[in-house]
Amino acid sequence: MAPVHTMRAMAPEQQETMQQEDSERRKRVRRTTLVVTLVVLFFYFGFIAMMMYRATHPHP
Amino acid sequence: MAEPHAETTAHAEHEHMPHGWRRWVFATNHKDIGTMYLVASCVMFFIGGAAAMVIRAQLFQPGGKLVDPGVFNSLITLHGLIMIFGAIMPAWVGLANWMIPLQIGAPDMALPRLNNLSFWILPFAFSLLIATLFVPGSAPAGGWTMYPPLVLQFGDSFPMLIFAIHLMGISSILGAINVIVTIMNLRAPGMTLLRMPLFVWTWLITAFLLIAVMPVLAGAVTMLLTDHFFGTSFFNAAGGGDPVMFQHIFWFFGHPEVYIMILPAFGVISEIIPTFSRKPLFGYEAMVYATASIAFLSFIVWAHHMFTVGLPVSAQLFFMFSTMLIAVPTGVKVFNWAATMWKGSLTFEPPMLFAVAFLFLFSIGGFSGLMLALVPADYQYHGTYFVVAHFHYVLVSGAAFAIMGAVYYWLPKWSGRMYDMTLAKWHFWLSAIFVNVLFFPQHFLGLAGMPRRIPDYAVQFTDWNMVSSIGGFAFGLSQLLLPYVVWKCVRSGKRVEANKTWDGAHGLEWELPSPAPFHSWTVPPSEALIARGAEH
Repeated sequence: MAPVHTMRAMAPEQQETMQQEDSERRKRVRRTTLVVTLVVLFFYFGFIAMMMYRATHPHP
Repeated sequence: MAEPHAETTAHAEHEHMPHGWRRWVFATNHKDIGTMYLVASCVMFFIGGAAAMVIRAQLFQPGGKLVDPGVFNSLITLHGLIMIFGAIMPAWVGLANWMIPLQIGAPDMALPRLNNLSFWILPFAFSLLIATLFVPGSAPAGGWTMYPPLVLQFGDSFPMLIFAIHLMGISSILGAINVIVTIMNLRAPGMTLLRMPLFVWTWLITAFLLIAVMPVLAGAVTMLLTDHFFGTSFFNAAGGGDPVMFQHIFWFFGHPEVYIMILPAFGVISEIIPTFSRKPLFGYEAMVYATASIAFLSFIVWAHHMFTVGLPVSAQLFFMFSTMLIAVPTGVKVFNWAATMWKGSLTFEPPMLFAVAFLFLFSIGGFSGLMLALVPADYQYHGTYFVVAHFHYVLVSGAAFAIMGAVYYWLPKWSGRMYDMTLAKWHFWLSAIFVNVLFFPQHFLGLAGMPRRIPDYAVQFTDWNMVSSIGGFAFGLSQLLLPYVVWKCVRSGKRVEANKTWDGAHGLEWELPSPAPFHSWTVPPSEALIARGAEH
């Protein structure tokens, strides 16, 4: 994610390529963040759900 | 490619660096946030250390009357929580913030605002935790493990403890998400996974451990909360629940937590030893695989903390053998560090001194860990000072020494100044001597049967407790040297001219000017630069 001041010093075609790369990178960042957040939520609720299941289905 | 970087840096220095309190409160720059984490961790280290000093003063001789037993138990609990969640973990997050973008050629962390949030949650969490000392009734006094039913008996401090744990957990999770997203997406072109410095690798694996186990802790304490306030019986035997199940869930978090605190230390040591041996790291790939193996094994050893609760023999055997298996990848690491030093051109500046001490002292902690892994022997050691000695060797002379080594290693890069080498060496030698005076006698006390977490003890334990307390006071006092050395360096240290402070150093961070500019790698480093830095 190149800051604006870096891009200002570049030629227009370079700027365009960089902006494309930047938007692609932003998408990848969002996707990874979402996946990792889902993993976190899975572990949090998963363990609580597991305990609730265990409480309602006790061992003999 | 170095020139355009220097150009944009100079431009950025003038135009984009915020000033005053806003720079820190609204910080999104990874270096500023890293600095705030490190300062906060240092403050918490001294608060947790003050609790330790009171504990050691109380235990100086039998019949100590310095604090009443309830307060003693609260101090034990808060010392553990503060040191783990307030000192060690934030220090690693601070180092990750400072170093990961510099080492992978990224301009910043991927999620800078989230980074700010994850830091600023911490002061609230720890204020809440420390405030439990002043609420009516008692501060939490059931140990950092928070086992029910004991922990459920505390009054107003209980929900404060749970909320503080949740906040710390959220902060750690946000930090881990940021690290993963940054490493996966912002590496400079050419910085392949197997070119990454070991510190980045160990942090990537640590971050995966964090996102897997911190939610488990959060789930466990949420269930404690509902047991206390909403009539559920997850861990309440009277209502059909199972208190031992809390121990299983807690240690499913707790054991990987130990590795969360020690894996980045392995990364730091793998940076320092090659630098001061002036040799590439021996077995880079083996180090990566060993780290990943340790992380994997950390998920299948949790019940070695609870051999005495009445596990089936088959479970005891499984957890005993899986625990002993950890010695294999750990041995690979220690061997590789020793092999890196073998026939190297060694010099012993403060970071190297801390790294070598780490090697010896962490190994002592590792060996006592193996002793504890043996089920029949654990029946004798469990709940004694032997366990206290073991984990302090791992966490103080292991994790904390590695953090100190890292500070002395990268401080010239952060500040652009060199610290007082003599004072830093004094800090090292006092720490290395007194950490042993403090913790080694605790092995003897544990083997002789002294239980942990008690404010008073039988007279036969007096001598070694006195030695341990003297070591504790001296170790505590010698730690004051660290902030002084850093403060003196930042204020009046001799300016460092070269990019590379240590002649044997490799890595992208050493290609940047010293101090590292406020905005670094705004133009990604060239492949040649990356290849040069990745000469493992």
